[in-house]
Amino acid sequence: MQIFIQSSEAISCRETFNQKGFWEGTLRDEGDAVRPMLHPDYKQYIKGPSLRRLSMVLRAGVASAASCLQRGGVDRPDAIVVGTGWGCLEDTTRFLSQLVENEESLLNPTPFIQSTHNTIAGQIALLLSCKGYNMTFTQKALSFETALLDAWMLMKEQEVRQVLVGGVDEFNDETRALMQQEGCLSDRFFYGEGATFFLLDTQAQDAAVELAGMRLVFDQEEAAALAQNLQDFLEEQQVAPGAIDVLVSGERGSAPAQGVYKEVEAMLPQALVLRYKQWTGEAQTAAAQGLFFAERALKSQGVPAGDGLSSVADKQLHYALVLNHTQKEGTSFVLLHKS
Amino acid sequence: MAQQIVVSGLGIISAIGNSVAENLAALKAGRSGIGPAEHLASRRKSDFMLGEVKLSNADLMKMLEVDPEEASKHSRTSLLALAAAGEACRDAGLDLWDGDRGRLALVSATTVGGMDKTERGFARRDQDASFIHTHPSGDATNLVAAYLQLLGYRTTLSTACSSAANALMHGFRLIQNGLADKVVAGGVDALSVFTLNGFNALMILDQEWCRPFDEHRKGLNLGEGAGFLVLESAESAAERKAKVYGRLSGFANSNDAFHQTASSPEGDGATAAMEAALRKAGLQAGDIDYINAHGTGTANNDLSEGKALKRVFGAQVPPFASTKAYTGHTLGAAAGIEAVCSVLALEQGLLFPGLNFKTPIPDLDLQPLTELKASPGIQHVLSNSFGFGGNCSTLIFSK
Repeated sequence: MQIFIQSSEAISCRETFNQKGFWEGTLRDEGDAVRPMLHPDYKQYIKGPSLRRLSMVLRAGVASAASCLQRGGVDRPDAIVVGTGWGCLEDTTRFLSQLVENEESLLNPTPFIQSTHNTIAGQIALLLSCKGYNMTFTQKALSFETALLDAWMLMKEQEVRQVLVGGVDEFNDETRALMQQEGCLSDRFFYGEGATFFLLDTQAQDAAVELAGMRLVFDQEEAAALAQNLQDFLEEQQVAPGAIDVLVSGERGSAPAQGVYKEVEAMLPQALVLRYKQWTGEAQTAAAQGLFFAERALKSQGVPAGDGLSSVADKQLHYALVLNHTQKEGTSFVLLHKS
Repeated sequence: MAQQIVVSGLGIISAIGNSVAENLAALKAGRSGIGPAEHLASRRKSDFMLGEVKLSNADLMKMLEVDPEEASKHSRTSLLALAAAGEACRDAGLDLWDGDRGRLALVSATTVGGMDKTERGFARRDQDASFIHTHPSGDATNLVAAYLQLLGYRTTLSTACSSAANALMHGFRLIQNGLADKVVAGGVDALSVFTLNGFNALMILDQEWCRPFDEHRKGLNLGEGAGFLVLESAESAAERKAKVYGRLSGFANSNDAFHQTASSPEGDGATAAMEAALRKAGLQAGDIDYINAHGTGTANNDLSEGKALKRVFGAQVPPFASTKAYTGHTLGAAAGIEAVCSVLALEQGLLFPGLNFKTPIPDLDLQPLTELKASPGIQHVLSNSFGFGGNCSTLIFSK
């Protein structure tokens, strides 16, 4: 059985929302601050008084999900699976601050209710009246991929046909500063935020890109071992390394994980390399944004130019590999195919 | 043909004991672990009855032989998870297993991860923000995987109070899809000032002992702990001559899509989850011998769950009870702890009763089991877990 990406949508720190290609507008030098996501007009997607109650990450999640489904021509998927690394960070911080300031009395429960990780998937279900399977994964830098794998398994078991799967994370300068203070940041790279969704379907329409396979690796850190693992994965998929046309790489420059990215790049000599984090920043669910760029590259047969518009590639693009490697957290390979 | 996935190891730590044996003894004796909390650093803790694990963090580290130099890496959450997941691994013989440890997966679940440590450090974070390491929910999972040398796949689910049931489902699928040989799956949550105050602000905490399914129930008692199970294929268990407690024979998740925190009045999500789990197990409602209910003791849950039970089982609702009156509602751990209780019911041929029940809910006319009952022929136990976000999960364990 094949699994296709019927449609995709991304709210990010770029004008990616509601675009046919990658994004609109020109890139600016971002420095290393947190670049917030660009919020669309949520009134189109969330009706009535519920909009006011929802935090920004919930609005972004719900709107991105709704727009993704619209694009895929589906009212209601069979299942919803979301990955989020930090969860609902703003409301968690808000409730913690209230606890300290009010000394555990007179607390407003709304930020507590919305602090729960699965509020994102739950609110999407509520908006769509989707009574199907509803799941939320939170495994740091692999949060999105374990969600994607869950959706994958569900579809392979033929329990469902259409699954909405997404990666959602908000972030802020305060958390970034705390990470810096505790020595978690090894380089100066900007952080982004995002709500990226995909409608997976076992039946393809039109020009849908196939989600051909995926593999997650947790017990290997060495570049050579991971490259061998990728080799095995591609063999299993019956795809030669030279057939990979696009490598969507999570490399962000000076990070210590660079060795792995370089090794994989060397293994895929024909691949155009898209280092997507230079556009959308680092995030726990950055791999969802990587998958978005990969799907759009194959679908549009182009790669982002400086202005974000698709510039036509000088060859046909059939295979894209999304690589996400985070030291001590794990590695993911996601393979896309467009015939 | 679907593989048979069996349970070959159990681990639990809760207010009623620090091991499976201690928990079983308390369940048999009808002994609740709920009372005033000693270790939780809340200025309001004397206002509430809580199901606290009777060990300080220092006691836990001593019990687990955690290197004192590594103490700062842990939240109470990771310590509780390590206790229960470690016991499950030893019970299944995975501590000494000499196979490929890259094929051992860990699927954990939690609602707030390392929140207990976050909230202790939050007010003075400009001086010490070391909680930033332990706060993400996946951190405790990474630590447990490293300690127990579960070197394969790992992830963490967070779907509020049904989290651990969903971890067991994901674990089942990992084995069925050939992505792991054996999976340690379950859930954990430590009591936190954050959740205590959150639930209090929602006005769903009973200041007395909780009274699941009683007309005069006033809310839940929060608890803490961890419950983990080892899952593997029946062939794998047979090959290594492992003890088999039973099978995870059915499961399902569905969404109530009614309200962020409240269950639908007729229990739509709960009904759908139970019916789909029965279908998955290839069972009829009448095949179920015992139900470990979600049974939080809130006005909303027990009525909604009760109505769902009547919709699924009609006039013949099997003996049911909620073990939350023993352990408190342990949130992300609850479905793991209750999965262990359900498997123990199967293994021991015992139906564990609820506690603190006096008066049936008039609209329901359902009476939970109030006395320990022997049931040597028991074949199938169903366990319900429902959470915020409309998340409804059902597991079925079979002989």
